[in-house]
Amino acid sequence: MRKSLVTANQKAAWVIYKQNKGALIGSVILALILLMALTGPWLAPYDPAHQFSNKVLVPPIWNSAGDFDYFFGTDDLGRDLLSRLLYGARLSLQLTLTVVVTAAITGIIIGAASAFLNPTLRSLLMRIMDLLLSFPSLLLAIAIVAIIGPGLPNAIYAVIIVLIPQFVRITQSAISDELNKDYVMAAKLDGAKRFRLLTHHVWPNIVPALIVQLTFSFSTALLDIAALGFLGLGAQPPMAEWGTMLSESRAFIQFAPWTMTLPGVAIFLTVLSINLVGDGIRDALDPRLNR
Amino acid sequence: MGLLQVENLSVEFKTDEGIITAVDKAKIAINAGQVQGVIGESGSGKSVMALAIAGLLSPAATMRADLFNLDGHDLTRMSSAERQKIISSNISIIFQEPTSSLNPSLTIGYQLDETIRFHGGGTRKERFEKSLELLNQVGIMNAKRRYKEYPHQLSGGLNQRVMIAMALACQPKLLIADEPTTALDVTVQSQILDLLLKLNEEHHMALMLITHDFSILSETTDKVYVMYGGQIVESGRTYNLLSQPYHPYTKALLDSVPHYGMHYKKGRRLFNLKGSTPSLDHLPVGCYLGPRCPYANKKCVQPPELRSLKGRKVRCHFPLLEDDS
Amino acid sequence: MPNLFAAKDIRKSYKVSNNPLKKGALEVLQGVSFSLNEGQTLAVVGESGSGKSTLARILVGADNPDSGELLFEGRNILKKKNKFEWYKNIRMIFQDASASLNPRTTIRQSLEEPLHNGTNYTSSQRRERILEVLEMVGLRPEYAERYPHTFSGGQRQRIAIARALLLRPKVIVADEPVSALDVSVQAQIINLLLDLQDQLDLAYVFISHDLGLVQHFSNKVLVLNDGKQEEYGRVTDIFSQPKSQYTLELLNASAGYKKPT
Repeated sequence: MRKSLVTANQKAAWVIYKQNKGALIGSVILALILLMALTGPWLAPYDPAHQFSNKVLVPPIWNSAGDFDYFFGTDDLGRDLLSRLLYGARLSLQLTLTVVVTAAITGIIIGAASAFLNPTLRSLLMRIMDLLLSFPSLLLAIAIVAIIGPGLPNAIYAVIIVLIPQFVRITQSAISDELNKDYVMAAKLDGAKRFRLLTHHVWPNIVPALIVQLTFSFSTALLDIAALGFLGLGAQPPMAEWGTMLSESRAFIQFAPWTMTLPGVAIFLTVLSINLVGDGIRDALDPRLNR
Repeated sequence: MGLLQVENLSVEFKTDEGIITAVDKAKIAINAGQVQGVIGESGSGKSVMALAIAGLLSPAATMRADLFNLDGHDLTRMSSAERQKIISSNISIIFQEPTSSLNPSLTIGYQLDETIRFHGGGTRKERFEKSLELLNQVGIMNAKRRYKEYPHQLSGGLNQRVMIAMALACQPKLLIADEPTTALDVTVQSQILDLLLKLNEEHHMALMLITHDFSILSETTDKVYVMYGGQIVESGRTYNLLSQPYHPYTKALLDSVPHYGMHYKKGRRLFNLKGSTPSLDHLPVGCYLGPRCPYANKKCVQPPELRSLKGRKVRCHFPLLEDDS
Repeated sequence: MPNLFAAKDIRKSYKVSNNPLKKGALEVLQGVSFSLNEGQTLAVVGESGSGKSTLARILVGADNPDSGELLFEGRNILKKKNKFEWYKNIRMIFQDASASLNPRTTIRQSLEEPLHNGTNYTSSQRRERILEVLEMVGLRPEYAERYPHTFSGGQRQRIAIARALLLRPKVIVADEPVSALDVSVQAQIINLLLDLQDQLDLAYVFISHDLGLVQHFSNKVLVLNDGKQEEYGRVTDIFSQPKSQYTLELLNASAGYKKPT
């Protein structure tokens, strides 16, 4: 039925988004990072795992001792940092995307299904979600990894489990808000059954809230995966993952600060740009701000 | 004696689409103790005009007037701080939604006390006495109990009385009431109007009633201004204006609402204007009523001036005079 | 022959609190009865909190009464399994037309809904019916492709009326259909409703607090006060000789404001 995906509302939202400077800066940074992640293997000068044993801890080129063959310098094992960062971007974003998409789909399905449950069961389900949400996300992820054992796949499962309740909660509350509105009642009196009400009438109105949640979950997931890597519970060396890189270089922070700073900056910039974009989207889609 | 004279009052708002003129060269004169009415629909500029007179416009608005005299002071030749001071000690305003004008998390007493403190004050005990006296004046029983209560514990009518009590704290010479009864039930409406008129009489306080409903103006006001699209389109003595409107818009306002007790035949179609009220950023060329007016012709693309006609002011090229109708 | 639409002793109460330990319910409707025939208008009047909106919701099936009967052409529709017969014949016009339209779908999509659920029309038949109904309410066909927020209040209420008409109902319940509109637009909508009643022999249940409109618009009137049916009968009888004190007060208050002497 829905022929064009871009509605008048969405056009207006785009106009608002464009006026938001932070969001624009965020989008540019994010676009660059995404580009780097996509083209990383071709941009990277070396294999990220290759160890130049005579070139250990070379500083970046802006340092007087820098070497032009190694733009960002090398780490303690003589691996080229630029290559590791580029491959790391690819890996980190890939993992984050997998985690967020899986968590979002599962969470939205559970949240939407709860609209069909009887009120007692629904409120029981929501209390369980509240319980999960009451833990700091990282702590919960660590606890889950502690139970199912360290390693990249388990870390991913853990972060997915941590993210699901957020989606369940926001889907459920958005749906129950919308279900009380006049237009849903009008559609019900037009003869729409409950399933059709959800898919045709409620769904288009909760998508904005979900998109906003999606962007913020993205930064949570990225941070949590990196943190698990840093703690040695996620990606294992020699994998080029930003969190793992941070953790490996911890010992050299005194005399080779670049080994730790660079992955840190990469994480920081990515999370910052995602949050800026998320803020922009939230402001643009917020119906209270619709002018 | 003239209490308030305003001439060529204009209020403009800057928006993304350009400048919007919310009030266009309005001319208002109120004598001490007089009751006047302003009538218009949403977007007619009546509320903005009220806010402009009460000095409560948002910073986004710019206001201009050739003449703005209040109680013998020429406000056009003053710094804004001085102007604010004179306005706030002479004019009070109450709004349509009393419940949202009051802070829900503070007691009635606290909010009343704060207003009194702002307007002179006195010791804590004097302010308390004054609060109770004000609550009594606006006809609130059990003033002592109400003093300690929160707005949500009071009905809409009582909250409006509290708003009026707060408005009285500065002993204003002019009270502007912006749709004071619209949000209230009909039976409560007349009580609030009774109160406003009683205060008008007892305190010799002028009253400016802003409304969209003629039925509350006919018995209360001496003079009525009709506003449309930011302009005053007709003004005159209430009785004359209601019994024989000169402007087509005034006629439409009167005839499009069936008034109880006028014994219509069931199913008679009502007089109406086609289309809907224009928004202020898309006003038509010439007479703003032009595209909706059943009497319009070519001449109406020229903007009509407000002109005097038999003791009234009318902004229309073809006023509905007796012999025409 | 049975009445087209009748209600018998409709009662409704709401729980005051969700706390299972607290007892007590708020009786919103304490026995409301009326009957209505083709082409007639019943006005339900009362002040805020009188239960008139709850009654409207019950009549169209948006809410269930605790007890009582709703008879459509003599059969109790509350007992029926298939609610759609009910939804189809008794339609609602909401007070706030903009809230009753899905903000993210076009007018056509909103108008398709009842046809999609209630008829076997092909898509071209649906299109035709929508155009037909838009014309009846005085809207241009191209408006169908626009979104609700691009319309004025009066136009949105016309769209709501079009939506109510699509399935050729016999009764329309209108909950304060003009109270949110500008005075000069109110008259257009009232005239439109009167025209449609003449054309289609519709019965209206007209919820209002405006006695002037009620007197102008209705044959019968039902006065509600705090959920109690104060009075019910022909408009001319009740407005000229009210039996209850409350009706008298309401009438006096509505007769325009009188200065105390």
